[in-house]
Amino acid sequence: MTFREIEFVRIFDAPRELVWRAWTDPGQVAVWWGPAGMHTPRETVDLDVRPGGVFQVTMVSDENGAAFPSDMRYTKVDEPSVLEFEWDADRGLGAGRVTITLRDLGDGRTEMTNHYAGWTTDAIEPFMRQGTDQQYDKLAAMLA
Amino acid sequence: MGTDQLSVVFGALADPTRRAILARLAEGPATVNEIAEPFEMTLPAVSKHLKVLEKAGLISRGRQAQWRPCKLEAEPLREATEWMSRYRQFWDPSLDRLDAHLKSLMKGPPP
Repeated sequence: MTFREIEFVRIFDAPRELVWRAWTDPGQVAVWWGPAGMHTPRETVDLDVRPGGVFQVTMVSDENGAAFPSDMRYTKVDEPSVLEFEWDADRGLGAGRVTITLRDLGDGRTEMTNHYAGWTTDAIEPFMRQGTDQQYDKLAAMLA
Repeated sequence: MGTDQLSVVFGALADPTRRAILARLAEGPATVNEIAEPFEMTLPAVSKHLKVLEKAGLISRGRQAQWRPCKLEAEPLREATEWMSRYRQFWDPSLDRLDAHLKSLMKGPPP
């Protein structure tokens, strides 16, 4: 098991209330959740937005229909600024916690910080070796 | 890379001065004096940062006792960035879609 931590920031051209709703409304989460090549059917999204509540989605591969259920739990819900959720180590991905912090920039835009801290198991290492072509862009960005 | 070595790498990268030192060394090897020049820091302070970077395996130091030039070591950075790009591979497309979704909400009638 290896401890990992990462943080990145993104700015959205929308008021904080709208960004908060996009994160906490199942119909909206279904629209945007998932990596490239995956979609998230609305009926698989189950959100109980309160500490201890479930945060479940199933991502489906566009290519072959393979389903990837995610079972997360909210650990902190502080509308409209902090949303924190974590998952356990049962599925071989390691345990992790994501903290989403929304900051009202005062000009109609919202700054979102995504902070991850967690433990990864060796099982995920082969996946981590995919897509290394971007790594030097990231290195450049990190050193900037 | 050993189990906790990546944590040591991230710890070393967490400091802006050390990132600046790495950026300098990306241009080529340099002595401690050369590295210290752009910073308003004492040589011992710079040496301390170099020790952290060396321990993380991010730099190596020459054997000539007097100069000991520092050199960037790319492998730990490569592993660290690989992991980060994996994490970003999940989030970037998601957040691109979220961005597009929010834009359409802003343009259209109130949801």
